[in-house]
Amino acid sequence: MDELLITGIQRFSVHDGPGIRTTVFLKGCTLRCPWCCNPENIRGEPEVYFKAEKCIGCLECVRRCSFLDKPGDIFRFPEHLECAGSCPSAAMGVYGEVKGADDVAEVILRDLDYYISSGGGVTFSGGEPLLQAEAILKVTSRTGDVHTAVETSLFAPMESVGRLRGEVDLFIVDVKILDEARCREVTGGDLEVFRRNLEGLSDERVLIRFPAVKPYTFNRENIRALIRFLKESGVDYIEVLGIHRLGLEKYRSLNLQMPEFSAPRDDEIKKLKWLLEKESIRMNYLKI
Amino acid sequence: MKKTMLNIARRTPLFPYLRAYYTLYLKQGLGPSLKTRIIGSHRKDILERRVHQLEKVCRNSRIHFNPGERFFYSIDTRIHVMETPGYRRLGNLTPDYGFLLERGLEGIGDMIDRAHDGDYTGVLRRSLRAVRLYLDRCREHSPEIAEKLGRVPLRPAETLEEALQSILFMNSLLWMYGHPLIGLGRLDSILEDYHEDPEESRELIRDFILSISSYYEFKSNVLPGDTGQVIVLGGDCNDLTGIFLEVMGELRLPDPKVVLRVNSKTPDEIWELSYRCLREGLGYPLFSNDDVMVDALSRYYSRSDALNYGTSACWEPLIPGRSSDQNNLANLNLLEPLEKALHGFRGEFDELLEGYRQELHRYIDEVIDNVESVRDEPSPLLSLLFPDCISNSRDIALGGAAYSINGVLTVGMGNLVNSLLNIRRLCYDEKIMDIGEVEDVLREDFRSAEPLRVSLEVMGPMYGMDEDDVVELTNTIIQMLDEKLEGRYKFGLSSPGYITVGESTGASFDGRRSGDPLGVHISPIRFTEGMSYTEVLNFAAALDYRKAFNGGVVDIMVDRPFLDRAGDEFIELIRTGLRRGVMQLQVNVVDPEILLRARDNPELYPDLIVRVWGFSAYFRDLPEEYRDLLVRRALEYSGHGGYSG
Ligand code: SF4
Ligand code: SF4
Repeated sequence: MDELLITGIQRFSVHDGPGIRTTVFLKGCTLRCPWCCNPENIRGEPEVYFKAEKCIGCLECVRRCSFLDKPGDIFRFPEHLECAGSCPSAAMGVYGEVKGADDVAEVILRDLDYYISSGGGVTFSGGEPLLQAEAILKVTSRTGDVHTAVETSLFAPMESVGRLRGEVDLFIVDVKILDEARCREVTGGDLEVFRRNLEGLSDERVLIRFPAVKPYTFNRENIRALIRFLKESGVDYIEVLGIHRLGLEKYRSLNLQMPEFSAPRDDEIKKLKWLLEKESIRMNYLKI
Repeated sequence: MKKTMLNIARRTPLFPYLRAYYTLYLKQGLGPSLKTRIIGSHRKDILERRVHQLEKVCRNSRIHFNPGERFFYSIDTRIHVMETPGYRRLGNLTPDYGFLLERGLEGIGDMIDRAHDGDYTGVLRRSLRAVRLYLDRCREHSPEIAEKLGRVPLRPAETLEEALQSILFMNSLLWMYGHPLIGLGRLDSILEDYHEDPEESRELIRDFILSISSYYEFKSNVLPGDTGQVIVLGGDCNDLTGIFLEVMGELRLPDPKVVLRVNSKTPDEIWELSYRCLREGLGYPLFSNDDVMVDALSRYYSRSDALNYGTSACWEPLIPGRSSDQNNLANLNLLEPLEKALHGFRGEFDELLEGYRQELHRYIDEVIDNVESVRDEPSPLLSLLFPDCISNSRDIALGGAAYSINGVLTVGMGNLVNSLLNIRRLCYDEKIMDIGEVEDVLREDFRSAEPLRVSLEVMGPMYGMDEDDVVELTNTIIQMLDEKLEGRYKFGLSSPGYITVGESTGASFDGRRSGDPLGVHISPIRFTEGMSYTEVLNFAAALDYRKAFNGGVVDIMVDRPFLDRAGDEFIELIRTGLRRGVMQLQVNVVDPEILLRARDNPELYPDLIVRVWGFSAYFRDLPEEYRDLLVRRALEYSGHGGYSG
């Protein structure tokens, strides 16, 4: 387990935890949130993509792969990873790369000075990073004192949570839909798993995040449930993410339809803020 | 036929004047107004000539004063002092305004009298007399002017208002006398002693900036905005450092521009004020790292002078008031020797590098010969503001200044490094291509190799990444430059020539088509997907600036919405990058959407300011190729920092 399946490493990230951070995107997720900004991180194996807008029409891919008549055909042959990799302009390619923990740690450490001066560090995001908990530990054993955060939905095996407990400085937990049936219907997740895992983090530093998406999470019932949940868990600060339709290009590149949803309007966010403040919960709105 | 006409014309005594009109015509793109007054002189001796010209400027220039303005600052833009054939007019440097404030013209006169009596003393005396004549003319012009010029510039300044007025007076004369790109120097430190009440200083500095920013078109050199009016702040910060930054952030003018000298002692407040200027999209301050710069300069200048460094019109270092350094004498196009080295080449990569080295050295010799065939044109007026010229009794152009260490610029380093990396990868490591094919592909400008061209742009490690390989190769080239230039010419890694030189440069193996722009300073050629700011800064911090210090600017673009989210983190990014060893950094904050709209309809965004090489300018004033490059780069950078999760 010295290797990670990642889709990218983003340096100078500024909204995945405190300070200047490096975010490692791990591939593979247990949920299927319709508003997901990272559809390329959902499946647990490498997969081909095709970005039509970058294609220069050189047909290098067609020459290389006898199954293709045109670049768009690649979606019918998802196992042809190597053919996809032959595109000179990276219009066609593969999401997902297996990288050694050493290599990942080395990239993280390049920005050590920035973490120190800004109070930042590394964030493992995804996908669901908990699915590769073992590999994460391999990386952090090499990055030593670097502040480590994990951005998780907590819909993951309990053992994974157990493995990372005490090893990670901050758990950034997304709270999505708090009604059991709705949660299963929309995201495919079992809310019970989330609850148990969250209990397991009672001694840890946890930051709650709420992706605000209409109609899925940003509706009257769910907000009421959210506030109840926050009060019960004694949370006094959350980050609210306004999810815009940034993932559109990525959906297209995977030949997927992006589901319909929208971000709340500013006045709706203000109202949420007011509701939270009534319960003495502070919130920070990140528009992305 | 044309030739004979030209020969006949040449013989007429009017020819120099005609030529001067003609050059003006070319430079301004439209005929100089017939009212333009060309100041020539028939005196044979060059010093005589130059004094004579100064006398004419002082006698004849028209004087304006807008009642209600705090400072008197009059430039007769219809005066044109004719260049001396075979000479290069000095510009792009900074006189010693502190010296002027301390002594006043009278004190400078005393100093001339005390200096040993050479031929040149007479020249200086006459020049000073000419300046005083102009001063008298101004005073007689109106009582308001007489009041503003009460004690200064004759006497030493005693108040901030007097100090600023004194600088403005001499500055206006330098412009009229035809010196381009005149810097303002380290104004916060020069003026520190005159500063008392913060409110009052703020008002005065505001009005001073408004005066200095006037005559914008007249002062512009190659492009509108390219005035060379640089104010150097910082080093040791004082109250005025903050006041200048604050005032300039509020005024939102493209000109003058600020170079901020930063070091480990730069206070938080100054960083924050700088951030505010940047956020306004002004493109300045440009950050210059004292720790790196002073160390590098100490190789050529005394330590105490190095500590007092300022810059020429963009950012190339010199010592204000002490050096006549012409820092931008030529652009070394680093791709040119590669083209030669590749010609008919078959061999190993190391041999290619060695071939490059030889071609580079040959090329440098050529360029330097060219540069040295032209002499600096004397300037008794500038010499009055360089104390060493007075005590040495020698003109600034004839070795009067303490230093005259000229410099050259390099352009195309990123394109060269990427070309070499690509050649090494494709022809030697992966052996996909034969080295002989490289030349062919380039010669036909990738016409039948578009896929290859595209892949060269996006694949593999590239200039601007913090990979050891890339850093090492870049430092190797720096070393090659230093071997040839050391002790004779300073050289740096940034240049305003990326578009103009690119236009006449053939295709290169970084995937650049013939005629396309070269890379912008120390920045990735393309800020491709997955690149990051920390990476670029780490790369830049690892370069060998002890050798290459004549300008070395990392030029990054930041999308304004992203900047707003990054906030403090962004300041930390810059600070840490500089602490790690980045030498100079400038940040263009833009909103890509606005820029896109402005590209098509510039008139809709009359106030939009952008950074172009070493100056800030109105977007609407820029030629199309500059706009396009800015938009392209802005879009590349705007992909950064998208949220995922
Ligand atoms: S190789 Fe890439 S650029 Fe060329 S046709 Fe195929 S997808 Fe398009
Ligand atoms: S948990 Fe995150 S990565 Fe997984 S599907 Fe939902 S939004 Fe996407």
